[in-house]
Parts: sequence; structure tokens; C-alpha cells
Amino acid sequence: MSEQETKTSHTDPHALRKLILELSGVDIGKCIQCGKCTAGCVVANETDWTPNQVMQLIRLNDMETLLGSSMFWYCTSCQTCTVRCPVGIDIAKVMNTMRLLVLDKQVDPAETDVATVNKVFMRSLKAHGRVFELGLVMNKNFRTGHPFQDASMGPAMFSKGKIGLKPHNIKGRQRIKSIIRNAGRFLKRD
Amino acid sequence: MTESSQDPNITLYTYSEVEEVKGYVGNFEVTIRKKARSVDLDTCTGCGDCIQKCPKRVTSEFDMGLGRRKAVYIPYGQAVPNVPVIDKDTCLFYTKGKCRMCEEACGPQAIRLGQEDELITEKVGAIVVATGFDQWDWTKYGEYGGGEIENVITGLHMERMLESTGPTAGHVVRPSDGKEAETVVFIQCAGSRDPERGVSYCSRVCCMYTAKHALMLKEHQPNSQAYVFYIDVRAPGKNYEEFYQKAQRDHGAIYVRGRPSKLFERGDKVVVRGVDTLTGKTLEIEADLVVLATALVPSKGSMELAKKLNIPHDEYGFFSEVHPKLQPVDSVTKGIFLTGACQFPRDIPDTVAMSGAAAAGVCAVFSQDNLTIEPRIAEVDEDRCSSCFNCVDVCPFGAIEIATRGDRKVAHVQKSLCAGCGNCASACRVRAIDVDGFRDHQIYAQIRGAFEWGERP
Amino acid sequence: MEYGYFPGCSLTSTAKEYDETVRAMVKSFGVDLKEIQDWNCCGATPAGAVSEEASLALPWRNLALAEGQELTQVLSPCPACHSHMCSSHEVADDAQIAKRMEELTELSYSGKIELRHLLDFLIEEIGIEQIKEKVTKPLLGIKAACYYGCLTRLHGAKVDDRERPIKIQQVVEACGGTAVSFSHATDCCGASLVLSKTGTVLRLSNEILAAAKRAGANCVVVVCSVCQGNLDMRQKAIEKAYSVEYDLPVIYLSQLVLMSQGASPKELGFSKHFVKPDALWEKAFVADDTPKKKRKKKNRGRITH
Ligand SMILES: Cc1cc2nc3c(=O)[nH]c(=O)nc-3n(C[C@H](O)[C@H](O)[C@H](O)COP(=O)(O)OP(=O)(O)OC[C@H]3O[C@@H](n4cnc5c(N)ncnc54)[C@H](O)[C@@H]3O)c2cc1C
Ligand code: SF4
Ligand code: SF4
Repeated sequence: MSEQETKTSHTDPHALRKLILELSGVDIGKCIQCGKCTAGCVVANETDWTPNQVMQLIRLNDMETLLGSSMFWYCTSCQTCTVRCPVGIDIAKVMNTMRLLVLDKQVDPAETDVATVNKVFMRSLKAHGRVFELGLVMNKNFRTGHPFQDASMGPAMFSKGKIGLKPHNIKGRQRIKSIIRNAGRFLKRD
Repeated sequence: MTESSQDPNITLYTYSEVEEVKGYVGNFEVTIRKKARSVDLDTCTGCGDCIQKCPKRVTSEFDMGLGRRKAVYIPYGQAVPNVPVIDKDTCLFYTKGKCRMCEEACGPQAIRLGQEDELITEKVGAIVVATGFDQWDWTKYGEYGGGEIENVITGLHMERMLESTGPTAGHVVRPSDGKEAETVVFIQCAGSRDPERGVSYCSRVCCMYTAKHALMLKEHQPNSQAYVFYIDVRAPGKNYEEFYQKAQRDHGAIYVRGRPSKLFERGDKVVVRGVDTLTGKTLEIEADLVVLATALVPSKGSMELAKKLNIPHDEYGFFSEVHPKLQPVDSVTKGIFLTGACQFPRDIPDTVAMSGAAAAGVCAVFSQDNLTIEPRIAEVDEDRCSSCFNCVDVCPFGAIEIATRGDRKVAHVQKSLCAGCGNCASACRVRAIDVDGFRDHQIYAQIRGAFEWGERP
Repeated sequence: MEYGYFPGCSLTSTAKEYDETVRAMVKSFGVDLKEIQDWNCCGATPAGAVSEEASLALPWRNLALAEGQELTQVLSPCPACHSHMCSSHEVADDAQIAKRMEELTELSYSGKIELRHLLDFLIEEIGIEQIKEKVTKPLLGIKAACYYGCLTRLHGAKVDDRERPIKIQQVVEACGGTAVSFSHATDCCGASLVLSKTGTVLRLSNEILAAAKRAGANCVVVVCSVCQGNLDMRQKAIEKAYSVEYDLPVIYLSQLVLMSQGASPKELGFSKHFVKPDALWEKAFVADDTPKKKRKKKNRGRITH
């Protein structure tokens, strides 16, 4: 086999498109590759692949390239792409589905910073039922290896009473813990 | 136009609209509303003195607001006939009851203030519909400024500006300050290929006219630079691809593949936020002028006209042909032909070719003493007819009349109008109507035949 | 009138002044807010990026609690919280998903609560007329860049026109202020990258502030705590990174409304702002007399489309 992936007749050439459709309810088959999603995307100039290229990678059934892409980690879920897509593809939803798929397949996320923040955020939520910002920032900085990021703002935040020193624990936090523990990655759709 | 106005066999009704159409192929009776021009066609010499004197200035529709006209005006230089018309919505006499300056100015006394519309009827044997197109209302695109950014215009504005006798004498300028535009961005598919908010089809002519605009811009203003944002360049036609290549190669138009997402003003520039999908790079271009290639849609009022003519149309209002390949200029109603952009967006060569075909279709009708029609035609069993006239309501071609038989009223099919669609047959509760060739017993025989196939010798 | 209230996490910490002024403003219109007891975090973007079920179940619990506490309408000042609640609210109509939500939260929700974002609440429930009536100190000197961010596009948040929203402008004008024509009203500030890709956030927020400055604004008015955080708290960092100077206070719509009702800087929580609104305060109630620059037009008509 050459280095280029050889497409064989045994694999379903539409497998990825079908998978995305099943997981998100979004059919990228309608995409006309006009590029409007990318033109309006606020992060597309920082990512390896752009939103319209992500659509095309799905069409090309290229799971491997896609899972390793940084695009959906940068995606801010701002929905600009979705509301302007001329054929009504919910691109932002596909981006989120890709984030979930990377976690589900247990491959390394291309942008660990974002994935780490998500993880730390969920941990805080599990522990307290609400987000404890100080803990969140410290924990995240520690894990992403930028211990002093935003540190300059810390003292001002305290003095302005914007960040509490103690987390607020809600009564139902056990329930929150079990929700997060038991919740499935994807919602089952008919 | 001038030629046809001088042909003895052609009667031209300008500033007129069809009110009602009755009858059928060979025997149409058309009621025409001749709108009050407020100027007498026969007396007017076209000297233009009235226009000179008229104190009321308004924006010119023909120049898309880029220029001005008077309340009494001739829409454009080559207009036929060369006789002015008074715009009742802005004329001081019609709106305020005073002025009459034009009347005073007119030597031959051709002004007819207070003139009323006139209804006339004509008997004709065939009708050719050529009502053309309008531009899609692009101001629905909030992300492109929704019509609020002055230096965002459409291809039609560009046409007017490039015209040497037009409002800017051939200069491409920014409407905001009248300065010559240097960087001009063209955006294709503004509304086309957008089923969510515009139209789903490709408007067919925009790729080529944009290439033309880009090319002419460079010729008129050598210091200018054109950028063309496109999704796909569609140039199928004789010498079309070569023309588009020429615009790129020889006239330096830079083609960027991708539909822009947003237009906004920065200083006196319009920023185009776009992408080049070939490189995957997003980019912003600061333009003096942005020209949108807006989608072509059927002209306003085409749906109403379709009703008057009893011809079907598609979801957008484009009139439907009988068969896209075999009968592209025939409407479903016999004797009514279609041509040009009223049937679907098309360019001038295609429109001219189609018009020739439509004219030939008319000649074919007129050249025969008797008309041959399809045998698939509905027939009423008058004894059975219960006079409910459900069929009259469902017939899309208005082919069913109510006839009197003694003291009874019964449905009667006008054969030359019937298209054999069978709507009436399924609507008739007493089974009094059937379509020849598709009678119940014939259909049953076919079904039976199909199942007996194997047993036959 | 009584109204349910979901402040959301940021309003209890980084955006306390938003919470306090929302409460005071709503009260000024004679509406009592009842906070949902023991509410939890709506999950924000991270929950959605980790588990689709959790992102629906977390707001579901809040909705169910609200229903249990006999609230029929719920107001949230945070666009993201509001949007997440809307998404969860929608699935109540889907028996299969609703059942799964009940399993996860052990709470049922009928799908009958009416959800409103603050902006929607102001326009639809209170109404422009009532906002006008309460104005005692018209904001004659306010030239606001009304910033919506992603609010108009968010799922379920059908608050305004997606591309050319007008509701914040309507409120600003009702309070006697002027809304400048602002090109970046719906551009993204980078919100969800705030903890991970700070550079991106600075770049995006810079563009927004630059557009506001260009438009001649003397403040930015927002309805989202994250927007406020990015544009206010990080403004110094932006100015440094891009060698620019903005000095544009970023104020919440609720602060603006209270300002027009005569509230003091202290009551408005202005001390919590990073970009001090002091200079703005000086100008806020005085009409700006400098004549407007008029663009000279060669073309006397207006082009038609
Ligand atoms: C910006 C632009 C540039 C173009 N450039 C080119 C080009 O360079 N080359 C080219 O080949 N094509 C070009 N085209 C396409 C060209 O304009 C069309 O092919 C052509 O106009 C179609 O002709 P038509 O007669 O079918 O319709 P139209 O030109 O639209 O004419 C229809 C006429 O019917 C009249 N009408 C409408 N409704 C009624 C009614 N109810 N009663 C009476 N009258 C009515 C209208 O007033 C109009 O005069 C361009 C199109 C655009 C938008
Ligand atoms: S905007 Fe929609 S149609 Fe256009 S490239 Fe993106 S996903 Fe495809
Ligand atoms: S939602 Fe994501 S992909 Fe879409 S425009 Fe925003 S950042 Fe880009």
C-alpha cells in the first residue's frame, strides 16, 4: 500500500458522513463548498483545517485526519457559520460532535489546552454543583503548564470582590455528580 | 424596438398591461390597460420642452437611483416611443393639484393632465410571454449591510455606471462621494444558490456579466483593481470560457474562491470579510465599491399574469414549459408561448434563440386551417352530470365551461384548452367526466393485461 | 408580578454588578424576582463538549426545580445560560429524551416554563414605554456601541434579528442615549476560549473595541457577562498587545437603565469595573453639542435596490 491511503471497495465510502448524521442529526451532504462558513469563522486563520475543509474531510471519509484536526478545539461555538450557511448545515454542531468523537475514540486532542479546560471545568462542577472560578483557573493553569496566566488580574479580581476564595456548594451536588457520571457522550436519536 | 415600432404589421402598446385574457388558441380576446401617460402620443413631437420646465426632480428608476429625472420624463435615451410620460406619484399637479408648467411649455399642446387609463380589447390568435426578470431583494442579507452601506451596489447599478451615456458618463464611482472607485470587489451568487434565504438555483448570467464588468472596469479605469469572489465560475457557451480567462489574464481581475461572510464599513471603505478556499486562508479586502451579482427572479407580477393567462409556474414564479427539452417554448396552454428570462434566467443569446423559436411556434399555429391537438382530452357525459361543477374549480386551464341543455346546466369541455391532465375526472363524484384514452375500463384493461402477461401465448 | 430568576455562575462571582443591577432594575419596574432555589451550573460550553446528555440534563434539573418551586417564567441575564436552558426546555417535547432526562436527574419537567433572556424581558415584558416613563436623568451624553456578541444566533435564543439586531439600541434610546452605528455588534468575542486561547480572545475583542471606537462610541453596552469580561477586564491587555488606546467603559444594559433612573455610581457597582466609567459619568447626562460631521455627497439621489 502506498503512503496515501488507498480507498478499497470494502469500506463504505460514506461511513463518516453517515456517522456524523447519526450522532448529530446534521447531514453535510448538502454542502456546496461555498466557503461562507470559513469566511466568517473567527478562528479559521489559526487552525490546521477550516470549517469548509472539515465538511470536505467528512465527505472524503477521512476520519484519521479529521480526528487530529485542531479546528473544532478552536471553535468558539459562535454559530456565525451555522446561521449564514446557505444550505442550512449546522456546522457548529458538527464541530461539537467532532469534539465528542475525539473523546469517545480516546485519541489525543490536537489542542490539549481547550480539552483540559473542559475537563477541569467539569471537575469543578462535579465537586460543587457550580463553577468555582478561582479553583478552576488555578487548576487549569497548573495542568496546562501556564501557572501564571492571567495572574496579573488576580489581585484586582479579589479586591473587586469578583472572585470568591471559597467555593459555593449546592445542596444537590451529589445529584450533579451522578448526572455527570452517568450521562452518555451522545444523545440517542431516532 | 424602433424597427418593430415602424413595422406596419406590428401594433406596439407601450406603457400598457394585460388585464384579462379570454378564449383559446386562435381566438384569444385580450383586454389591455393603456395606462394614462398624461401626454398625447400623436400630438407630442418629443421636443422635451416639458421636461425642461418641470420643477420636480426625483431619482431615476432606470438609473437605479444613481441619477435623477423629472416628474415628466422619457425613461431612457432609446425609449420607444420618444414621448414623455408623467409620473403621477411625484407630479405636483397630481399630488398637490397645482403647477401645470409642462402644459404651458408644450407648443403643440400634447399634455393631458388628468387623463384616465383606457381599457381596450384586441383579438389575437397566439400570445408570446416575455416579461423577463427582476433582481432578488438582496437587502435581506443583514450580514451584507441590508442595503444600508451606500457603496454596496448591484450588477445593474454597475451596468448603468459603465454606460457612457449613463448617469456617471461611464465612470465607476462610489455612490457615497462620487469618487472614482479603485478597488472594486464583485461578489457572485448574492442570493443564488442559497435555498435557506435566497433561491436554490444558479442565476446563469452573473458569472459572465461579472467577467464583463471586471474587464470593462479595467478598460475604463486602468488604475482600478477588481477582485471577484466566486464559488464556481460557470462559463459554458461559445467563447465564454475564453472571455473569463481574458478578464483574469489580460485585465488582471483577481478571482478568489469563496463566498464572503460579511461586509462592513471602516472609514470610507467597505471591508469584505472573505476566504480563499483554494488556500484555506481567510482574508479581508478594503474596497471602494462592492458589486453584488444578485439572483435573477421572475418580474414582479408574474404570478398574477400567470393566473390571467392560465399558465402554470414554478415555486418562484417562472412560467413552466411543457417539456424542458422537447417543447421548451410552449406553455401548457395552447397558443401561449414563452421566451426569455420569464421562463428561467438566461442571457441575451439564449433569449434571442428562444424568441425565434416562439415566433416560429406562432407561425406554425397560423399556417394551418385546422389545428391538430392531442387526443387525450376530457369528455363530459352530459346525462350523468349532476351540475355540481367541481370540475370547473379544479381545472387549471379554465377549459370547462357551464353550458345550457334545455332547462339543465351541464359542464362542457373546451377541447382546445383541455390539456388532458385528468384533474376533473378525479374530482367528479358521479363519474361523468373521463379523459379519452384513460377511461376507467381502459386502465383496468391495462392492469389486467399486465398481470396476464405470463399466461398469454 | 413575580418572575423566576436564574443568575448563573458568573453573576455570582465575576459579574456580581450585573446580578445586583439586574435585580435592582427589575424591581424598579415592579417585578419581584424569585431565584431558583439550589440551582446548579448550566454546564456552559464544556458540558456540551464532553457529554451531550449532561449538557441537557444539567439545565433540566434547574427547569424541574423551577417548576417544583411554582415558577412559570424564568429570566436569565446570561445569554449562554439562557440558550442552554432553551435547548433543554425543547427536549421536554420529545418523550424519549425527556425520559432519559428524568432518569438522569430523577426530576420531571413538563416543558411549560416560559424562558426569557434579559433583553427579551425588557422589550417584551416591560416595554419601551415603561422604560421611558421611569427615566429621570436622560442619558444625553451616552453614545453607545450596542454589542450583542453571539446572543442573536444562539440556539433557542430568538431575541432579535440575527444579523442586524435593534433591541439594545431601542433601550439605549428609550433612556435618552444615542446608539452609534456599529459594524461589529454581532461579532464573536471569543468567549469560550477565554481560559484556553487568550491570544485569540484578545485579537477578537480588539477588533470589537476598535470598531466601537471608530463608530464614535464613548461606551460599549452589553448583555452578557463574558462579553463584559473580555472587553473590560482584558482591555488593558488588549491595549498593550496592540499598542492602542481605547478607554471605553463596558457597561451592562441593566446599569445603563438604572443610570437613567438616577442611580449612583456606587449603586451601579462601577467600582468593580476595570475600565473606570468615571469620565463617562461626567459626560453621560449632558448633550454633546459638537456638530455632527456630515458626509458631502455628490450624488444627490439615493441609490435604490
Ligand atoms: C447586471 C446584468 C448584466 C447583464 N449582462 C448581460 C450581457 O452582457 N450579455 C447577455 O447576454 N446578457 C446579460 N444579462 C442578461 C440579460 O439581461 C437577459 O438575458 C435579458 O434581459 C433577458 O431578456 P428578456 O426580454 O427575457 O427580459 P427583460 O430584459 O427583463 O425584459 C422584460 C420586459 O418585460 C416588461 N414587463 C414585465 N412584466 C410586464 C407586464 N406584466 N406587462 C408588460 N410588460 C412587462 C419589463 O418592463 C421588461 O421591459 C445581464 C443581466 C444582468 C442582471
Ligand atoms: S457555508 Fe455551508 S455550504 Fe458553504 S461551505 Fe460551509 S457548510 Fe458548505
Ligand atoms: S461556530 Fe466555530 S466553526 Fe463556526 S464560525 Fe464560530 S468558531 Fe468558526
